[in-house]
Amino acid sequence: MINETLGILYSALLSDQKSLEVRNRNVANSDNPDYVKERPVLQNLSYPGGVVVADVDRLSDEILQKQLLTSTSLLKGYEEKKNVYDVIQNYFDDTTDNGLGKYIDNFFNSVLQFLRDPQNEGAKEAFLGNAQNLIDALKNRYNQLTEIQSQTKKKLALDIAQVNKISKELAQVNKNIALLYAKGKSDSNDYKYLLDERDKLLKQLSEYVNIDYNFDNLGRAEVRIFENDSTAAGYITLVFQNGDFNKLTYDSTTNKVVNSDGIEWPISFFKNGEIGAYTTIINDINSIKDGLNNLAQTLVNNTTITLNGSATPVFKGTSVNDLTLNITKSDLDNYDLSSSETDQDTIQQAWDTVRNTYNTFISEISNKYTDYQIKYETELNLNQSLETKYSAEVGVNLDQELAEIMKLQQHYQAISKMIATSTRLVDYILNAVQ
Amino acid sequence: MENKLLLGLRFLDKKFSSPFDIEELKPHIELVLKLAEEKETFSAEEKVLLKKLLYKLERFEKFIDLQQKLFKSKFKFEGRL
Repeated sequence: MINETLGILYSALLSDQKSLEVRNRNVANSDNPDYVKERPVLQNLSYPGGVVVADVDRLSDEILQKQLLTSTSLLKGYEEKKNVYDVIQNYFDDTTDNGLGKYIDNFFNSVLQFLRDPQNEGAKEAFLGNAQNLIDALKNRYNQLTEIQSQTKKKLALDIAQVNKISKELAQVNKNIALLYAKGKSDSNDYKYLLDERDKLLKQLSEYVNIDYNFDNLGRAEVRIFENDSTAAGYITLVFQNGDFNKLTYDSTTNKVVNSDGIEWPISFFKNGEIGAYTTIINDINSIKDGLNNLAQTLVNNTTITLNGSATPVFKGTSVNDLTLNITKSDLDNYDLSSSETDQDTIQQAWDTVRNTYNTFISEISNKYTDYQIKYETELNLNQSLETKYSAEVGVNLDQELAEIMKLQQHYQAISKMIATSTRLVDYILNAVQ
Repeated sequence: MENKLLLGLRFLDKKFSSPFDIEELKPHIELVLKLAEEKETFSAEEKVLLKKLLYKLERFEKFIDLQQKLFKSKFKFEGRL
């Protein structure tokens, strides 16, 4: 009977010790943003009785975590898009010297000046000079866009390498979880640490790409990328619960992603995160370049003056790359004054057409820029509010931990007194027997 | 005359930052949308703020949808559904 009583008290002391370890770990990690607070789960022991720490609960909030990672992925994506559009917007900013509007207006103004006074040598020089400036400015912007595109492709390749690194680590965490679980839950300290590590890696991964994931009973993560949303059938698996992962390779020439088995992954799967942003940016820049080519084509088709009795385009070419001047100084020297009035009308109309095309082109860039700005700001606010909510849910509250430690201390003192009393009781019985 | 729409939009731009604010700000959102409906042309600032408000509503709706879906799948997993 006495032995059983002491046994029960011993189990209580042991569970106090383990509980204190858990609380201490919480306090020690109060500043660690990746740590999820834990709570000891006590269980009654059947005969002869007592108490034991059966498990350590990790107080995570998977729903909030998933929302936060979705938001992080969107936020990173919009941030990158906004940053690139900051630069692109600057290349076409008409409030500074960068805008093409100034070059277009200068050119058409100088053509009109020439048509009003075709003998004026200065006007001829200005005509040809401003035409060349416009060609150069168009080519310059086009090359700058190509440069951003090639830098983005390099960043994309680096990000894919980073995703491979994280996927590999995550796959290793999956293996380790299974290993430690198999060794027994008694080593719960390390096991929970792995779950923190898993969540940290998932967060890192979500900054690169839009991920969805599932945990099995052990907490091993299967990470997927869905084409649309998680209800859709189309998905690709990045990390498997058995410890495997898909190694990706990016081919910048074809702009395609290929996995370890050589299977091509559609670029449309990568929507958010940095990788999603880069794939969008590469496509967006292609559209902007198409816009510039369209502007060049509009210039070629509409800007004509009459030379030798027929309407002659001032420019020639099919795109910005091969855009050149179609007329020379001697063409202007031989210009027939009688065509001046008709040509002035043609050039005025061409000016309007080119300006309209340019304005549409600029407003498309500006709309996208505003769009990304709005999305970025909204997501930033949402992300911050989710971060606050998440850390309040899963982070360590020092006041609460202190209260729990005080409870444990009192409990420990009570048990110590009970042990002391039991010892006195044993002594008393022994004395009585003697 | 003071521009109630612009004031409302500026107010929501500052205060309406997450789906958790919807309940509190619902009367303001409804009023601003009603005022916007009545107006035919918008200034540049109104356009941007209105665009932002509509985007927020769309994004937060998606957030709530996902929340609902995650709750459902959680309960299914735990055998409560």
